[in-house]
Amino acid sequence: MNRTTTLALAVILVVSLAVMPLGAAGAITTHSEQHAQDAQETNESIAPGEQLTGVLGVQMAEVDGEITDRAYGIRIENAQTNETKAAVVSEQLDDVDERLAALEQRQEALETEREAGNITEGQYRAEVATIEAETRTAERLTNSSQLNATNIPNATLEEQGVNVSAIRTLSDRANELSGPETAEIARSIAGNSVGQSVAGDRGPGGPAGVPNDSVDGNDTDQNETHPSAGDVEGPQRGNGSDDTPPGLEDDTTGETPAERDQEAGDGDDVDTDDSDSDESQADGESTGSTAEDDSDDQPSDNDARNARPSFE
Amino acid sequence: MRRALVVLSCVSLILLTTVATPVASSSSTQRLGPAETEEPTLHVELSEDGDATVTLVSVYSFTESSERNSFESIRSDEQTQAEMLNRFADRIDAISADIEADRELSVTGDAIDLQSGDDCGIVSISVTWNGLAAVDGDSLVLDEPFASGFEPDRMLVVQSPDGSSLESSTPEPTVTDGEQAMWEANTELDGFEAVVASSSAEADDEDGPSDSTPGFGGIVGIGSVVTVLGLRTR
Repeated sequence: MNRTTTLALAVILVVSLAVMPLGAAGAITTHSEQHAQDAQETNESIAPGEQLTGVLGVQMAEVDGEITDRAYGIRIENAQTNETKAAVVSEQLDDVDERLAALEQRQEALETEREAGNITEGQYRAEVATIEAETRTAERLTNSSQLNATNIPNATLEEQGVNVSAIRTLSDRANELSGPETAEIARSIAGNSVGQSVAGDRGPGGPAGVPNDSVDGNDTDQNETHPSAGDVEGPQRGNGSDDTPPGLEDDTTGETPAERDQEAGDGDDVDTDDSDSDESQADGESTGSTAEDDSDDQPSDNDARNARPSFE
Repeated sequence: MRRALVVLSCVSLILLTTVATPVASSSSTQRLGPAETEEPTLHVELSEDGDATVTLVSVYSFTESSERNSFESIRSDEQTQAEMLNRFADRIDAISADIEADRELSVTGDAIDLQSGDDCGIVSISVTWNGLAAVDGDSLVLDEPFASGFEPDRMLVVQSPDGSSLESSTPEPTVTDGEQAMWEANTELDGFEAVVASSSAEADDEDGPSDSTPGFGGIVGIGSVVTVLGLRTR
């Protein structure tokens, strides 16, 4: 009797061990299928009209973004001195700050409406897609501004009210708005290209239709002491404001944040990819201007201030 | 005040464009096409076979010279324009694929046009949407994608084919002259349906002459209403 019981328990144990993986696999399969089913249901829950709303929003945002990108590039191109370039960068960063604040408010309000059940999943997704497209514009403008600021002496930037550490904050805010989940939602509405620049050959900060490595090309009459923005891969900023107080004396050195980073062994850099920056600087063509250039030139595009183009 | 001036400037631009553009059609009927619209619009021009030219019209107000120059640079950049058009066509085609219908729907890119003045620029992107409206005898029935959660941030204009007019619609258009109907921005369009019937078929039931299409006066009426709405909403 005892032996029979033992044998029976052993059989049960063996069978249980054999079945358990199958059960687990079954559970996993079921979970995967459920996930796929949820995704399919989500797509199916977007009505054609809701999708059309999102597509129009994305399309408008992209055209608006292209006009804004080019307008910024034109203002930078027209700015002949470090001082006027810094002014353009400052205005653009203010504009980006306003854009991101508005987008954050819209995103927050949207989440509230969704949680309250006041909007459908399709309405939610359509608006998320539009916000994503507009965020990508803000992201590009931030990168362009950061890239252009790299070639301007810190003292000049500070004189024009450019807070170099705030650029990183803007970039972080844009990244927070445009996470993977948001991007996926945007793709479900308007495909893979949502928010991407419609002009593929124009680099960040560059004037209209001009590739990235030609940025600042109009400064060829100035002393060539700084790396070209186009040779810097990605946003690079040093915390040069701490060790370079603002003032004309500092400005006369014509030293840019990029140069200071190089001289200081990058010790002041925070949250930047220094290796790329240093490599690019080593190869860089110098196009920056000196203080004499700054003092001689007048702002070329005063009405560029407070620029905020918008579709209606 | 400045916005009103911008609108007036845009209207002038459009009027100049309209006057300067030779009229290709010999039809006595003149209508507000996408190029004559000075307001953000989604313009649907139906053909007798149910196909449609759908045009997204956007108006851009310049606040400084760099924006005008930026717009002009896009205007001369065919590659960028082609990319804009392709993206729009692809996206509308994806919507088309999700519409349940007993007919075949498809979308192809048609044209992109940029017009600019001193204070504003207008971007018009058009696609050809095959099978957008269902053909039911002498009538066309237009519903999706406008019937299911479409929230228009701009006016929707439906243009009937030559010799046809709007027979009925849900909801009622904000303004219509028969051949062209307009729903202003932010109109609740859930359950949208527009039925367009051949004017000759309608004329058979009436004693009036078959050439009963509204003349220019009616179109000017729509244009005026559109302009007034535009000035009010800006």
